Amino acid sequence: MILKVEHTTIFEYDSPIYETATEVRLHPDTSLSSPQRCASFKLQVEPAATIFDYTDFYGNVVNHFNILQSHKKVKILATSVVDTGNGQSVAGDDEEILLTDFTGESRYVHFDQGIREFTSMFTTLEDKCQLAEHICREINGTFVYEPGITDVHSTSAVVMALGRGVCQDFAHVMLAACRYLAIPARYVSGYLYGGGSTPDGRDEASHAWCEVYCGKEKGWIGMDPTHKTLFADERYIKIGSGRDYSDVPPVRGTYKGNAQEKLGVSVRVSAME
Amino acid sequence: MKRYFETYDHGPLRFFDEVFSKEGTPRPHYGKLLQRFRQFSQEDINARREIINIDFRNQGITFTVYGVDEGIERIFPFDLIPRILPAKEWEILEKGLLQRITALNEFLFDIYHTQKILKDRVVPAELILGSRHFAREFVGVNPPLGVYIHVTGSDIIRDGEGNYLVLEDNLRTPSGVSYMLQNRQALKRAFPAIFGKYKVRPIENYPQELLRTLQEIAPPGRFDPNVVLLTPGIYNSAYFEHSFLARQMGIELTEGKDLVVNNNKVYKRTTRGLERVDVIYRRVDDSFIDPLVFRPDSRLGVAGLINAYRKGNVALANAIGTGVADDKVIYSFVPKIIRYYLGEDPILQNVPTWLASNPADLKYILENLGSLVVKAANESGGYGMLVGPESTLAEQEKFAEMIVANPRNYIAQPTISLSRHPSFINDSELYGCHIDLRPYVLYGKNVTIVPGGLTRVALKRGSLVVNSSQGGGSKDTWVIDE
Repeated sequence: MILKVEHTTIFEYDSPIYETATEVRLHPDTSLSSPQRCASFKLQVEPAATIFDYTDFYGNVVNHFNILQSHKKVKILATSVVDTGNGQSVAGDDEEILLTDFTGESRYVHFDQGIREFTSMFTTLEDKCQLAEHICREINGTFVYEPGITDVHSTSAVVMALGRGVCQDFAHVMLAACRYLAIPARYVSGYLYGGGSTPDGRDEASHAWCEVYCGKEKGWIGMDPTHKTLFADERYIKIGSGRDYSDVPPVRGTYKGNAQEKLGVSVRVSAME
Repeated sequence: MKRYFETYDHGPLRFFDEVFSKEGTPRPHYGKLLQRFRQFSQEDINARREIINIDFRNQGITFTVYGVDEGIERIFPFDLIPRILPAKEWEILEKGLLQRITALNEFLFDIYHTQKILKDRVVPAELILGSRHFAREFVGVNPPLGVYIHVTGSDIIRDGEGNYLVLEDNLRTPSGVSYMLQNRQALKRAFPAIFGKYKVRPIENYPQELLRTLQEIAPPGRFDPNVVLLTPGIYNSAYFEHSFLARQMGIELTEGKDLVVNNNKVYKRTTRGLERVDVIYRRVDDSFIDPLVFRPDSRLGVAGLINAYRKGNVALANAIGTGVADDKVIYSFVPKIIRYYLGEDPILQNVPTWLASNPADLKYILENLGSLVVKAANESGGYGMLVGPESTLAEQEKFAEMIVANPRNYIAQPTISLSRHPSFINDSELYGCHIDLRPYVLYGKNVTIVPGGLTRVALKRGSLVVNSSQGGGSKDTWVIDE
């Protein structure tokens, strides 16, 4: 599928701020091992700024810019065109040591009592990929999708205890369960076309799911505990991946000045054929 | 009148005495010093001590003691009797440090690039990737000249036989060099005659050598580079040193708020507008240096600095992420690291270290908690430490639980052995106080090691703690040519 993404982020302040420094992780995944191809990517910023880029440790493209003079609003518009190919299975890495990052705890992924109890029902299964699918199905079946009760900093332990949350939270729980059972798994940030990112189909487009390492041959398989379909498919656009949300926040930044910040985000994903 | 050194007790013999042999005869290189001190009366010593105290106070040579009272500043105690290292002993130290620092730098380059040593399983990958000092943000970045550790200060001790051992490598922002410089100045003023009797290698050029090292790593094409020192500010315990070094080098002392990044370049705010900065000698820790990348709540850093650094538009000394190589667990791998990169046997030995993450070692540690010193891998300053011989059974049991729960985080070493050196524990009495040595190594185009370094001394009877915050002081340290 060829999909176009228009992702607008607007920060508004009630009094002037200055010396904004911002990092943006909105560039669709460009890694050669991915079936996805990024045909174009454009980033526009207001007030105007020179935009720089680098590739981070996990292969994600990071754009960054700064604005020195005082301003009350920053607008970031990312437009990309992506050919998602026929699925989301990504070839495995040659170096197994790189998996170390995806087998332990991380900032939002904790091996707490809740996860130990939750995973105790799975331990008899042999095939890791199958096991991950069971975990994915279990989360999808038993956790309740409910926006507003968690925030971007909620850990897997908090979500585990609540039994509810949003796509990011479910992904963190799935990562905790997989990793606790020694299945390498990573957090994916991206978009979902059509069906929407909420289970009832409301279109929020920005989405988060997991990739599970199923051995060198199968590589990384995209699994999504938020949706009944469970597996990532051609509707999924991947931006990047990391240990958890903290490695791939879409926008993060600092500024100087004393002001209240208001954030507005709108994402539109449309099919081009 | 009682003469100095007449009643000096050089025992117990399990410690190495720097001045007297086991039989009690003076080591030859201390001969002239002892001869002179034996002629001094207590009034002579008091007069000289007074000169030095006034001198130190006037220059504001202080350090801040945390946790006592908000911002208590004390004069760092200076012991009048210098420590002497003969040239032939120093040469071993010099060669050993050169070897060690070269290997550690290659190690850092490797783990921030191809990670060959991890793939060859000489060092376990999970130790590196699991270290909180491993900077993923810095992987693949090429620091100028391929150098990561521009300024280091390894702590060196001597065992009962006088062998030099490395206790730890300080590869982040080692401090204390200003005391080394001040001690020399003070000693020369108080004892010009004794100093004149020895051929002491000079150390006064350290600030110029440091500045040269910093200039050498400037971005290409930046002639007459602008070098600044970045300090966390006046509340930092080493603020005196920061201002002292900046003044000695003739560079600007800056705080995070004085700098700003624009279009991936770093600038200093001046009354004439923004002025480009090329090299930053930073005395701010990694986690505080850039709120955009590391701790977002830090007010000590500069937003965007890491991206400017990654791009090569500014140089930092030391580089980011060097702490991964002075972790207490990684320390135990340094002999292997030296053999792996240089194909040589280590010249300086480590203190024997057991790793709790290694099952056989773990068993040994748990069975010998009463005689070992247990340390948490990522902590410093004595936090998370069990000193076996001084601990209660309850404390040992508590530690055993902590070690079993998180073996990666613990190491154990035999109870430390520090050599002893006659020092004044009060105005008139000489006692064999325990000492260590922190030599300073500079790494730019070449490696430069200042002869000697800072000798720290535990100025309490029997104490093995040389830290300034716990009653430690320091001595002038002479490397002499005979």
